[in-house]
Order: sequence, then structure tokens, then C-alpha cells
Amino acid sequence: MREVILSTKNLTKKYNNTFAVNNINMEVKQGEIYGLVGKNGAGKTTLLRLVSGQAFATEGEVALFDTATPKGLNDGRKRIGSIIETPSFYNNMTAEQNLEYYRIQRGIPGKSCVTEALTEVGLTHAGKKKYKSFSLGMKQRLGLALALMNKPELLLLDEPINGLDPFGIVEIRNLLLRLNQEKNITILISSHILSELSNLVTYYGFIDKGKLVKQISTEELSKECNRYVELKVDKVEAMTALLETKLGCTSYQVTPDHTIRIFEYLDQTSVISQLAVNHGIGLNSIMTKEINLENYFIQLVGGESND
Amino acid sequence: MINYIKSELYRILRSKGSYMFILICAGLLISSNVILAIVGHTEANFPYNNTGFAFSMFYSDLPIVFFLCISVASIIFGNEYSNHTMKNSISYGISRAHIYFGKLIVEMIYAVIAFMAIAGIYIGSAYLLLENAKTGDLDLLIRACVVALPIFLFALATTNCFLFIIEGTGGALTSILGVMLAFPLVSNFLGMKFEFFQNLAKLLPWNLISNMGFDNEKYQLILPWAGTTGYANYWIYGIAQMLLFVLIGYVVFCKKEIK
Repeated sequence: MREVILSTKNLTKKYNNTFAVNNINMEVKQGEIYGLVGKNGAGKTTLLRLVSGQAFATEGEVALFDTATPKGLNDGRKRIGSIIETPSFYNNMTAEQNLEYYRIQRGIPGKSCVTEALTEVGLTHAGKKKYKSFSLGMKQRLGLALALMNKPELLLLDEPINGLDPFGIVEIRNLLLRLNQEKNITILISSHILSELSNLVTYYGFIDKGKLVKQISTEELSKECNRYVELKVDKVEAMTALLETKLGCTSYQVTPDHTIRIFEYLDQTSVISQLAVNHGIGLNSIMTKEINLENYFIQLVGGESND
Repeated sequence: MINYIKSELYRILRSKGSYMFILICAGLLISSNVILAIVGHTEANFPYNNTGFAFSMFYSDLPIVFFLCISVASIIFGNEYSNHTMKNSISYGISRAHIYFGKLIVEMIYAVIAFMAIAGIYIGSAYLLLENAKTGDLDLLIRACVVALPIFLFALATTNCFLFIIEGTGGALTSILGVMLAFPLVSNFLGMKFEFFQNLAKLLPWNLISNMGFDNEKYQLILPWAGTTGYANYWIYGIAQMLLFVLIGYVVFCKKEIK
């Protein structure tokens, strides 16, 4: 069984009377890429701030590497790399100087790790350019370099591809995959760009209004995101009985709005419609549909616009 | 803690502000000696082109050093909140105690080095440019600095305290000036009516430093308390009030969330 690197127990953060994080219980296991998905203001950043020690929990606890004591958490954080909100550095220092400053502060031996980190994120060309003149993409890369400098066991990444161009996004995604696969680095990554997460994560946590509404593995999610035939009829029970007895169909579900989703006969919708008509069942609509990650997320948290 | 201090020293050595501060202060002081020397050369009976007068100007203006301590702490603090850089240290498991006390220690190291450099340059330029007076003036200057040292440390620690607990620089500076200057002045006024405030005002750092007097004939400090008690009281009251603000700042910072 894989070791739990990060866990939270009834983790709650309240600002005045508003729950930014509400009773979250989650576990991130070694080697996972855990994608935290939520709208803006859902509580993703607050959750990461609680894990990183920037904010204090109102209730509940965070455990890192199986310890939840203040000293244990601080020791655990030394084994973590993180970018939370936008990367922040000293404006009048270069990329190398900023990394060297934190290398000394964190007691990382050997100056070579600075160059290695800059090379890893493709920032060696920054040279003597001061941080204040960096583009957003360069800032993100420097943030990632800082996170990687101590050879972390866990990466906490809050929307790390913000500001990157399409090539940068692919580069960073490949880098994260490589770090995960080759160095077994566990990653907790938050994003609202779902298409990016779908290429990366192995486990999803969907967060809405501070609550973790669903945790699901990529395998389970792909099952739930299959193509299906959506069938709307006037006699749902009779239709499901017919599907089972006449077509031997067992892979279907009935949604709360009395729609039948059939995960078989995807290219033979005429067989299903014929069956309904032959048995006097009123057929309102029949069509082939597909749930992608976006649809799944919208269904899960409701279709309200981002706040 | 040592690593944090080392990293801060690394940053300060690469910050223009830390050199500019010393250069500007030293430049202003040297220019006053240059003016004295020029006037001394042009006017035969000019009585002030000597080291005695130059040093007396320095120790009479020690309250200015009190305010320069605010600048020193602000320079070293490095806009941590507006740059949002402190979150990096916190996220990597650097404890709040190491950050708070590390900054304070670095501010003190820098302040002592800067003060010694500025004073050294000033004294050196005075000896080079002006006529040499009696050695008693330099002794008095050194003694005045030793007595004032805890008051300067108080100014640094109080500035550090407010810079840590108040995120906006404007708000922090207002609070610093309120505690370090406005409160003693108000206490002085209230002291005219109430004995409690009269006694309190006497102990407040701003009043301690601005009430320092000098006997230029006997080369002696004139303090509110006679003899060695005066020296000891400056240290006791200065350090005690410094510790109070160090503690307040630390307790509040430990509960503060970092963005």
C-alpha cells in the first residue's frame, strides 16, 4: 500500500462567517498526481495555503508525511516544493540570485542545484535580467525552479500554467509528468483549466464552495465520462425492463430527471428506438452524447458562472 | 536561524539601498566637515573649523540617529509584504521565529556596521580636514554613543515589530512614529498636569535620547540620573522597552497569516 504523503482531517477555514474551506478530508498518496478542480473562489488556494502553513485552520488538521505536530509540519514542509498564488521574488535580484537566496535560507548544499533548477525549467537565458522585468511566463518558471530546487517529495502547485504560452504549457506538463514518473514526485496541482489536468492527473478532487464534493481516480472518471445514448421516454421502468430482457443491456443508468443513459448500442440507436415504438412506449428523444471532464465538473458543482 | 541570517546578508549585499544609505549619510556628514574647513580657510577667526566642534555636532544630533534606525529597519525588511516573498520562506518550513528574530538580528548587524562606517568616515574626515582639538571630544562622543546604543536598538526593534505586524508601509510607519515620537511628546504634555505621566515620560526612549546633555568643558554627559546610575538606567530602560516590543511583535506575527 502506498504511503500517504498529505492528509487533511475535517480541515476547515472560516473568514468571518464564510467557509473558505469546509470540513475537507483528503489523502494524497505517494506517486499520485492529485488534481484539485474548482471554480475561482472555490477554496483551492486556501486549502493549499493551509497545507503550506501560510494560513491557520479554524478547525481540523493537516498531516504531512504522517505527522501533524507543528514541528513535524515544518520539517515536512522542507520536503515540499510549492507555488501558491503567483510566484513572488525580490524585484531587484536576478533569477539566479533569487534562487541562491532561498538555497542559502533552506540550507541546500551545493550551488549546482540553482543552475540545475534553472535548466530544468528552461530559464538559463534569463541571465542578468532582474525579476521585475520578467514576463508572467518567466515568473511562473522561476517559481517552479524554486519548487524543484530542493528535490522535493511533494509538489504543491496552484495554477502553475497561468501565464504560460501553449509551448510553455506543454513543456511544463511534460516536465511534471517526467518528475512524477522518473523521480516519483507526488504532485498536488490545482487548476480550473480542466483540459490541462486531464492530460496529467491520476486522481481528482472536485472542490466547490469550500467543500470537497467528490474524489475520484482517473480510471473511475473515464468510466463515468463515457459516450452514451441518452433516451427520454414516457415509461422509464417499462423501457429499462425491455432493455434488459429484449436487448440484454445491463450497462445503463437512470438519472434523477428520468433520463436513461445507455452505455451500449452506441452506434445502433435505431434498435433502441424500434424497441420502444414496438412496445408502445412514447419516445421523446434519443441521441448519442458524451460526458467530458468539463461537463462532468459542471454537472457536479452546478452550472453557475465563475465568481 | 543561521541559514536565514546568511540568506538575508546575501540579499543585503546585493541591494543598492544598503550601500546608498551609508553613502548618503556619510556624504552629508563629510560635506559638513568640508564646509567647516572651507570657511575656516577663508575666515581667519572662524572658531568652528576644529574636530571638537565637529564631534559635538555629532553627539548633539544623536536623536537623528534614532530616526535613521527606522530607515535601517525598513531597508533591511525589504518590502516582504508588498513583494509577497515571505510566503516562500513559510512554505518551505522556515519557522516564524527564525524569520522574525533573523530579520531583527540582521537589522542590528547592518545598523552597527553602517553606524561604525558612517561615524568612522565622519571622524576620519574631521581629522583630515579640520584642526585637531583636545582628545576629550572624541571620548565624549564615544561615551554618548555607548549610552545611546540601547535606545537605538529600541528604535530598530520597534520598527521591526510594526513592519512585521502591519502590512502597509504607511500604516506601519504611522504606528512607529506614534509609539516612538507622538506618545513621548503627549506624555510630556500630560506630565505637566499628572505626576504619573511625568514619571513615565522620563523613561520613554525618545525623551531619554533628547534629554541627553553635554558639558563641553568637563567632557561629561549630563543625564537625568547622576553618575553611573544614569548610564545603567539608559541601558535598563532602553533594553526593557526593546524587549517589550520584540515580544509583542513576535506574538502577533506568530498568529499572522501570510499572503
